Amino acid sequence: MLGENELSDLVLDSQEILDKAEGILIQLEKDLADKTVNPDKVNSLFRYFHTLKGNAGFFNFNVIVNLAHSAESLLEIVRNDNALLDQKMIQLFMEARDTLYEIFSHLNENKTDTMYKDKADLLIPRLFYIKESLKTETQEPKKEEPRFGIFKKKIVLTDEVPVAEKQPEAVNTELPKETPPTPEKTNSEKSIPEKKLTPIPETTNGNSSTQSTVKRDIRIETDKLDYLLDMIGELVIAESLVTQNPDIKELDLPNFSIQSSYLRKVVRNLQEVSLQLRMITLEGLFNKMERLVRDLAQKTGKKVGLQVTGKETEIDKNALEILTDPLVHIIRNCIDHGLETGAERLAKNKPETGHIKIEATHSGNEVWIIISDDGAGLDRDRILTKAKSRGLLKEGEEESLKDEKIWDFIFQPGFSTSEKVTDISGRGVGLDIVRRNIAKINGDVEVKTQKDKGVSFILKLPLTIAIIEGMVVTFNGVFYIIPTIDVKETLNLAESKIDYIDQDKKVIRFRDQLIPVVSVERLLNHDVSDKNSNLENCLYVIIVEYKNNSLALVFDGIIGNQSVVIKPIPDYLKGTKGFSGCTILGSGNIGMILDIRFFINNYYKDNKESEVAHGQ
Amino acid sequence: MTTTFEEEQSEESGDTMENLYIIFFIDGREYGIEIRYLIEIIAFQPVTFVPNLPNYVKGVINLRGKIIPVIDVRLRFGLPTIDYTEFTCILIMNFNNLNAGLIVDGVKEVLKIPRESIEPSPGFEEADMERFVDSIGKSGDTLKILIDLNKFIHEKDVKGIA
Repeated sequence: MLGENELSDLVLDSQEILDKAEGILIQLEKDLADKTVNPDKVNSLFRYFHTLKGNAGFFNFNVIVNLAHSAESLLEIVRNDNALLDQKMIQLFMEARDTLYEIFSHLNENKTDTMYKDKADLLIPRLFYIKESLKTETQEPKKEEPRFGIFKKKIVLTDEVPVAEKQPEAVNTELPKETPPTPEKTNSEKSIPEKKLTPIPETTNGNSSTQSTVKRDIRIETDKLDYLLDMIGELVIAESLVTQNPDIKELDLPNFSIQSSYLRKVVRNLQEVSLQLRMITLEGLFNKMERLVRDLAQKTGKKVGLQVTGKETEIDKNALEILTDPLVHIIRNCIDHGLETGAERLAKNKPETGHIKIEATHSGNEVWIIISDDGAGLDRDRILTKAKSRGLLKEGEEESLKDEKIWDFIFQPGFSTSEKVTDISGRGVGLDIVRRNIAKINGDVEVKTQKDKGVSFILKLPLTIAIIEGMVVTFNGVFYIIPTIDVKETLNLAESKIDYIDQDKKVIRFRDQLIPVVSVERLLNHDVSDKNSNLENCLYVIIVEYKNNSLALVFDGIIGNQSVVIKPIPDYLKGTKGFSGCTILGSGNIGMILDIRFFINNYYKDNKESEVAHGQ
Repeated sequence: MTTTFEEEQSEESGDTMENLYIIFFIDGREYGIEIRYLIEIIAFQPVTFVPNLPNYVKGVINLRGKIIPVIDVRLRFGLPTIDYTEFTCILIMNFNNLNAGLIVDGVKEVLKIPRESIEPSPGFEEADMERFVDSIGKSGDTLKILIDLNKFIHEKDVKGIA
């Protein structure tokens, strides 16, 4: 009987393999277009299907076995003669891969693959037919061309390359070289008994991408990992509680100081390492995006070249999960609306093939993911018209608006300037969700555009979502953390003065600007009023800013800047708005992390509404 | 008929936790909650106040790196608060993966109440408490008010969590 865990392990393993297969297929397609098929990649693909077949066979999932087997047997032939590979086959392999992926995705609930038999039976004869037709053909000499470096990722999507066109290319005098077995080969074979796979056929060659399948990873439940991180966090606190203990403060303990500073170092290192455990590379995500670009290009009939850089950049695993949807959305927008059709592009003196660039870089404490196209760019007039029609903007107001403010409208809910709604995009749902998702992980989205030059979306993400740089402050005995990214300035009330407009409304003059002064408690609960007496003890004002709106928050103490480990708000308090998390400070005290952007948005929205109410 | 905690512990290893209740005091009365929801009992420790919570949620505590919200049972029952004493305890509960601490006046014992000794609630005058009562358990000549933890944790107050 198949255990629950074994099944879910099989599903996870297989999905991982299929993700890799997808990446390889995309690369092969590019290679095909460049006419430089890398035999290692075909081999890897062969091995992936082979592994899937073996794993599924172990559990008697016959539909999977049959489908994987058909793909494998066709690849067996292609493997021996790479020149036979064509666009049609890649398409077919992709369909097979997608079907397998679908089966595996539902395997946990279904426990069986029989309901997919019909679907698989549509693909198996097609794979078989190509295989048979190839078998009869005489083998032609292969050609080997220098490979492209892995960082040059270019994909030019054209219509299917017919076999007839492909074959003349393959006529070459060079004899096929048998790649000598590489050390990786032994590696990959060594791991096989453990993975319960059937042995890999003799001709298997290892390459860098095979190696990653051999790399020893352990899958750990995130709960366990979080528990470990919690414990290490506690260790850091416990360490300082012991070494800074008031009982020993007055004592002269030279040896103790030396040893305790060593202990501190070890503990800090441990904490650093533990935080890196959560980091994974963007490679998997970017591979998915390559596939998406390919499929969308085919769907829209536009020629799209894609350039991807920075796949090796690491990011927090949780952030990665949240990133997928926003990226998909932005790329859909770029291809569907951003890029013009081939004819339009030619008319504008641009190359017919549109270009999309996805790049990831480090910038200070952030990871930036930049998605840019060289399409038409955002249409200023259309956005303004739309903004007016939706009541976001009054007539004549646009003169004073900066460009950035205008581009910002596209992140409003339900905002789409596209005239045609397609099944890819255009319903105006989405960019607001992109911003909201990114904000969930304390990131931000910016858009830059130039007419007919294209659009760039810049996703600025924190390096880790487990830690935040924050300013620790106190108000009425409660510790609060303000994310440093939102802090504009800290003022001492001994030097600046709060002006009272009335009992309940205060402002502070800051660089010729009047900024409303509020307390955190007031922001959290409208019923609390900031009476003069409440603010008497406040010594500091912190100016926070988001999207050009500012608030001045009063506090009675500033502890200082710290990196704090973000802990989720307890489930029981989930309904409480205004906190983006909480943390345990070095002293063991609990601090609440303030959701400054929420406060600012809310404050300015409320005030706008009350102004409108006054006007009526 | 009451067994001590130690005895119960040794029995527990072979037995289930069914019909076992943690008995605690609130305002002189004895209350019980099924022990399978109890993770641990800790001595009262200062609670960090968090603004804008329902009044009966006193705030949060740091329990070995986990941040746990704490409910004052007296306030939840609509009773006046008293100063915390050396007997004041926090019962750390886990109900459907949701952690919460309950501040109680004191803990008495762990008690086995057989199903046949449990009767429906006769109704109480204090409406604030009444709505959380599941049933009444008889043990010797004392009565234990058994709490419906689901209602206790989730049911919204008149001005509950937004």
